[in-house]
Order: sequence, then C-alpha cells, then structure tokens
Amino acid sequence: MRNFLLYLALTFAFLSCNQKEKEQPVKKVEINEYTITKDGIGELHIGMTDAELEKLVSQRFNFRMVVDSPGYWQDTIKTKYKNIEVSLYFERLGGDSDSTYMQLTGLETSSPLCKTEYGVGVGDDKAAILQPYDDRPIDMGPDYEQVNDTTWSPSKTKYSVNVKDDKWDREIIFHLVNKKIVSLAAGMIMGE
Amino acid sequence: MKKTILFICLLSPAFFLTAQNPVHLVSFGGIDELVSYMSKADLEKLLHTKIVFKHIGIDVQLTETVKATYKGAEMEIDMAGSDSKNASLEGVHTTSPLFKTKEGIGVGSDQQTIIDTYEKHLLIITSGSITLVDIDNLHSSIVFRMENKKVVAIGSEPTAAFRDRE
Repeated sequence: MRNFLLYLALTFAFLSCNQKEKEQPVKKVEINEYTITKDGIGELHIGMTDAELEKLVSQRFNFRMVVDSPGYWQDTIKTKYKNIEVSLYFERLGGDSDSTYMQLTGLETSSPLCKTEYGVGVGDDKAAILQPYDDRPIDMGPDYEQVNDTTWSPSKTKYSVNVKDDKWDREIIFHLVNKKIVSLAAGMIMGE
Repeated sequence: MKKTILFICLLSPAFFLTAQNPVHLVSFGGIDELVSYMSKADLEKLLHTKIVFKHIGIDVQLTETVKATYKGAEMEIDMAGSDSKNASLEGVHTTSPLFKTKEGIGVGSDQQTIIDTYEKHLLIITSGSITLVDIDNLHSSIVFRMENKKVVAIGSEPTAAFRDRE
C-alpha cells in the first residue's frame, strides 16, 4: 500500500512538472542589429529604395537583370550588412520600363548571427519556429523543384515555413533543409 | 479463466460500438460518397431528399450552404451554381467523429497530431482552421475547423489561396 501511494505521489509530481514545462510561454530575446522581423533586419527595412540602401551599405548596386533583360522588373543584389551576407530582393516601382527606381520587397540571410525576436535561427528545427508563432497565420510545406522543362515536384529535403502578419501583407520565411533552418527571409507577401 | 472472461466482457461493448459505427473516409475529393462537383440531382438521389435553395437561382448569390443528414450525421454542404439546375457540390463539412481522413484524423484530433501526421504535405494554419492542401492538385483541400487546438469539424473544399512555391 505504501509503495502504491509513493508511486501515485511520484506520478502526480512528474505530471505537474511536465504540465508546467508545456505551459511555459516562449520568451523574447534581446533585440539587436541582426534581429529579423517581417519588416527587415536592423536598418534594412522592407520598402526602402535602392538609393537609400546604397547609402546604408556603401555599395553601388548593379541591377543587371532589369537593365539587360527587357520585361524584367525584379532583381537580386548580394551585399554585406555589418557582419552578415544578405540577399536583397528588389522590384521596379511604376510602369516605366526604363526606370531603375527600385524598391526592396524582401531580403534573405544564412548568417547564424541573424535570429528572430524569439531567438530562432539557422540550425533550429520546425518545432522551434511554430511554438512562438502560435497565434499567427502560417503556411508550410515542401518546396517545389523543377524536374524538367515542364514538371515540378515537391522536394524531399527542402521545406519552407511562412509566418504571416495578421494583415497578410508581410511575412518571415524559414527555409529548411533536412528539417533544419538554413536561411531566414523577410518580405512582402506577393501574388495572393 | 475469470480474468479472461472479465477481459472479454470489457472488450465486447467497444467491439459492438465500433461495429455499429463504421468510420467513413474524408478525402480531398469529398466525404465518402458526397464528392466535389456532384450535381444537385445526384445529391438529392443520394440523400433521399429535395434540396430547396434560398439564394441560388433566386438572387445574385452563386453559392449557398445547405444542411442535410448523411449516414446519420449532420452535414453542411456548400453548393455553387448560377441556377438551381446546374448547381453542384463545392464543399462538405461535418462535426461527426465518424468521419476521418485515411490517416485517422477527425473530430477530437489535436493540432500537433495533424502537423506530425502531414509532415510532408502543405498546411495552412490560421486561428480557426488547418487546411491540408492536396500536393497533386493545389486546388483541393481537407479542412479541419479548430477550437482550442482540437478538431471540431472536418470537411473537404476548394483551396482558398496558397502561395506559389515554384
């Protein structure tokens, strides 16, 4: 009987601890110059113009796709922001095909220095992404890869988790390979 | 021997309950025989009832939800069409626990189980629902309506929107 009561007490204690562990809210970490949000990283803000960004990173951008290829309105620039490598995604503003007045619509980095406000970054898994964004709209699934000229199929290794804001106009995208985050992106939600 | 008899007695009600209440399949194409694009006439034949619209063919509304009983369970059936004759089934939902996906997800299942079960599928999670998108046809989906992270209704409907991943 004594053993049985001891067993019950231990079970109760274990379940209580376990419950407390599950209920613990995810804490925000200290925000720094590399913190990624749906609006960008540090001073790199979605919506900035190419001129503003060139000044910020002290680099002259060469929009080769937009200038060299008629009909292109998007371009990507790789640059360095402080100590991290960043890809900047641009779109041409307005309908003027000669214009190179570009707007930042997204950015992406693989730097381990860059984390979300909840401390999620490169190397973390899907569970770490989902827990803090419990109340946000999320879509997730395998990326599609081009098999040949006409066929795309879901990747067996590449996966994305898109955490959207409540207005569905901006998002943070976590790109995973073999279930681990390999890069983080932020940007405008396009084409929905 | 006594223990064996007791064990059998305990199992028997569970067996009979299961036998009397078979589980029906929810798929991307519909719920059991209630399948997408089924005509109103076929639906009436299957349900042994006459469907009377309040909007389709009467006002400008092209979609309408009707309630019906199918295999003893309440169904919400979304119909679409410009008039009563050409209306067809667009989506169907139920709160009955007797309708499940082939993986066994249904009313009462929790959010984490859905995420784990459909790890290789496309999922759209919002505060009120989880949409499982057909990977072979992004326009079809199974929708789990959620409350307190538990499924309270399950159904099949066209995918509202999904980001192009190509």
